[in-house]
Amino acid sequence: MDSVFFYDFKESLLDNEDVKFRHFCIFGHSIHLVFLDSMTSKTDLGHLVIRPMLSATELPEDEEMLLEYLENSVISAADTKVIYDIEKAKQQLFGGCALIFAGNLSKVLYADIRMYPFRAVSSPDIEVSEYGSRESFIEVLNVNISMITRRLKTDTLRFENLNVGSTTNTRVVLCYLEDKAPKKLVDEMRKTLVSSNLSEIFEAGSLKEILQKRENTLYNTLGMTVRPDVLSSKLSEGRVAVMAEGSPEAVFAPYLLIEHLQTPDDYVNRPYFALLTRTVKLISIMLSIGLIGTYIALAQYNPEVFPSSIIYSIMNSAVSTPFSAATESVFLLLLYEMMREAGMRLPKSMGQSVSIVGSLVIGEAVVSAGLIGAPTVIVCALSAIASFITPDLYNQTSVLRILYIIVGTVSGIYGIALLSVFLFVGLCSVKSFSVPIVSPFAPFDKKGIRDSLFRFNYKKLGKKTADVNSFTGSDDEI
Amino acid sequence: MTPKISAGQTACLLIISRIIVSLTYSPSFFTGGYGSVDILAFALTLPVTALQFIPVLLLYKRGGSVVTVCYERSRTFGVAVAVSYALFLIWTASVTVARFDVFISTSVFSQYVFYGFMLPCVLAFFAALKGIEGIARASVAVVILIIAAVLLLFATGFSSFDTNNLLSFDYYGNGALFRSFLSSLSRSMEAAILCVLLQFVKTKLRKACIIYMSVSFITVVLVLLTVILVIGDFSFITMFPYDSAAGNVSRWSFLDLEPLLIFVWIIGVFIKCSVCITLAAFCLEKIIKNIYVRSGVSAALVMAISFALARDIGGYPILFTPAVSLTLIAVFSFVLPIAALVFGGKRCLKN
Repeated sequence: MDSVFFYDFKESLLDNEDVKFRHFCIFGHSIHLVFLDSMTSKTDLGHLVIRPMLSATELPEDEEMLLEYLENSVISAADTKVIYDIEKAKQQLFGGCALIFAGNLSKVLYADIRMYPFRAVSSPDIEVSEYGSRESFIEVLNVNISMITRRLKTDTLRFENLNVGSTTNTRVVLCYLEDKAPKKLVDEMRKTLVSSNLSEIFEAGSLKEILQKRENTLYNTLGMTVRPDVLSSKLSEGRVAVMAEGSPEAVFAPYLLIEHLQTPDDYVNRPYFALLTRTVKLISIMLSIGLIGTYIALAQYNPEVFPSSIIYSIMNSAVSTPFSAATESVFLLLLYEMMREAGMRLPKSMGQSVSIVGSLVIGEAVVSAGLIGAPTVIVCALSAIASFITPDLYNQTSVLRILYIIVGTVSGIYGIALLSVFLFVGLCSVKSFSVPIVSPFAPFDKKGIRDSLFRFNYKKLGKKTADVNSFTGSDDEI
Repeated sequence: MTPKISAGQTACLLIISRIIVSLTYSPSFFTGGYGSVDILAFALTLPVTALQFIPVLLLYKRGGSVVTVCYERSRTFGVAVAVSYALFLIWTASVTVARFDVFISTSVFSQYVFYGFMLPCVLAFFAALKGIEGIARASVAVVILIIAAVLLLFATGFSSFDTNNLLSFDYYGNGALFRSFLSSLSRSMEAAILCVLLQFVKTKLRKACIIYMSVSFITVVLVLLTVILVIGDFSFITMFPYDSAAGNVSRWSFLDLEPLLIFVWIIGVFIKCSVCITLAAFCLEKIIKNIYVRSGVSAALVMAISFALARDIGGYPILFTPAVSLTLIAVFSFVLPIAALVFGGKRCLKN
C-alpha cells in the first residue's frame, strides 16, 4: 500500500511531462522512483540507484527502516539524504535529484545524480586582462565554487547554501573566509537574502539591488566580477560574496571606489606602471563625467580661458552651425547611446557595420553639412572614449554627464563647481556595508593606501593582506 | 551623537573656513591693505588664536560641545546657548555666502544676481542632511585643491613679482599695524565654530588645532604675499585683491587662473556653508526634533540673511565691519565657552 505522502506529491506533479515515475516491487516492498527526464543522468540512475536496488539480496522487513537501509547499504550515489518535507523534496527533484518513496512512509530519500548541459569554462568576455588567469565563472554554481576552492585552500573558507525566490527556488551561495569576514557583515547579508520576498531570481546581478537596498545612492556599493581570481583575492581581504545558480557573476561587498581603478594586470606590471594606468583611469572618469559640461560652461561663459586659436575655432563653429553647443552635445550623446545599444544587441558582424555607419557616415556628414561643430564632436568623442575605460561605472557616468551638460549650460563654471562639490560630499558620505566607499583616502588609512592609486612593491604588499573592514572610518574600526 | 570625524578632518574644515575668508578679503571695506604690515599683523594674531582654543580644549576635556555641557547644567541654559550658537553659525554662513555673492555679482558674472546666493544654501541643506561625516571627508580633498590653487597662483606669478611692493613697516604710519591686527583677528571665527564642532571630533583635538594654525598660517601668508608682490598698493582700490592678483598673474602666465580661483572659492564656500548649517541644525536638535525641518530652517535663514546683506546696501557695513565680527568672536569664543566651563555640567558623555 502506498503512502498519502507519495500520492499528495504525485498529485501536484501530474501535469508535468518532464517528471517520470517508476514503480518497483522488491522483497514485497512497494518502491516508487521519481526523477526529471531532462535533468537526471539516466546512466547514473541505472548504475547507482536502480541496479543496486534490484540486485539487493535482502531488504529489512520493517518498513520504517527501509529508506535508511537503502541509503546506507544499497544505493551507491555519493550524495543521498532522507527528507520529510514535500516542498523540500520538490526542490531536490527540480534540482535534478532522483526521489525514492517506499511503502507507507511519510519521508523520501533523494540521490543526487543530476546532469544537465553547461558550457565549458572559458576566458572572460568582460574584465579582460593581459596576464593572469584565463578562467571565468559559468552558469553552474558547483563549478564556480570549485574554482574558488582551488584558489583558497583553507579550512576557513565557507559556502552557505540559501534558497531565494519563491517561484524559482534559486540556489544562492554566501561565500566568505570565516577568519577574515566580520560576522556582522555575513549576518546582515544572509538576513537580507533570506528575508527578500522575491518570487524570481535568475542572476546574481539582480541580488545587487536587494543587498544595497539601504544605500539609496547613485554609486556602486556592491562589486560584481566574473573572474574567480579576482573574487578569491576579494575574499582574502575580508569581503563577502554572493553567487547564484545560473549566473556567471559573483556579487561582493564591501566595494570601494578605488576598486574601479584596479585590474589583475596591475599586480603583474611594475608598480610605477600601475600608478600610471590607475591615474589615467581616474582622469578618464572625470573626463567622461564633466568634460562636455565644462566645455559648454567655458565656451559659453568664460571663453577667455582658452588660447586665442581655440577661441577662434570655437567661435567659428558657433557661427557656422545652427544649434548651441549644448544642443549639439545632447544630440551627439543621444546618437552615441543609440549606436551603442544597436552595436551591443546586434550580432557581432552587424555591430561593426553600425560602428562604421556611426563614425564615418553620420559623424562625418553632420560636420560637413554644418549641423554640428567639429569642437563639439571632438569633446563628445573624447568623453565617450573616456567612459569605455571604466565600463562598470557606465551607468553613473552617462547620467552625470547629462546633469553636467544641463548645469554647465544654465549656470556656467559656477554651477559646475557647486555640482562637483555637492556630488563629492555625497560620494564621501556613502558607505558600503559600514566602510566609506572613498576609503582609504578619506578617512585616510595607512594600511589601505598601500594598494590604492599607487601600489606598493609586491614584497611588502604580499606579506600581509589589508582587511577592508578595518579601514579607518568603518563602523567596525570605531 | 557618536563622534565621527578625525583630527585631520577637523583641521581641514577649520582651514577651509579660514582660507575662504582670506581669499574674499576686501580692503575696500575691511581695514587693511597695508602690504607687509598685513603679514606681520596676521602673525601677531596667532597667539590670540591659540588663546581662543584654550576654552575649546577644556570643553573637549569635559567631554562635550558647549551646547551639551550647558545642557548638563539645565535645559533652559542649554536651550539659550544652543539657540545663540545656532544663530551665530547661521550668521557666519550668511556672511560667507553674502560676501561671495557680492564677489560673484560685482567681479565675475552679473547675470547671477538672482540665484547666486541661493544655490550654495540649497545644496548645503542637502549636504547637511547627509551628516558631518561626508562633509568632513570631502574637506580633505578640498583643502588639498585650495592649497594647490594658491601654490599654483604663487608659482605662476613669480615672474610678475615686484619686490619693491614690500615696503617697510613704518611706511603706513603708526596705527596701521594695530588696525590690520584687529582686521585680521576679526576674520578668525574658527574657535567659535569648533566649540560646537568638537561634539563630532573623535580624538586628538589639540593636534587638529596645531595643524589648523600652521597650515592656515602658511596658506594665508602665501595669499597675502601674492597680493602684495603682484599688485602692491593697488590693493587699496580693488574690491577683491586676490582676484585682481590672479587676473594680473594670468596676463604673464600661459593659463587664465581666474576660473580656477572661482572654482576653489565656490567649493570652499559650499563646504563652510554646509558645516555651519549642519552645526546649526545640531544646536536646534533639542527644540526641533526633525532633521529635515531644522536643516531647512537653518538653510532658509542663511538664504534670507545673505540676501539681506548682499542686496541691501545698508547691509554692507555690517558685513565688512571688523567691530561686528570682533564682538561675535569675543562672545562665542570666550564668553560663552568660559560660562559653559564655569556654570555647565562637570562631565558629560558625547552621546
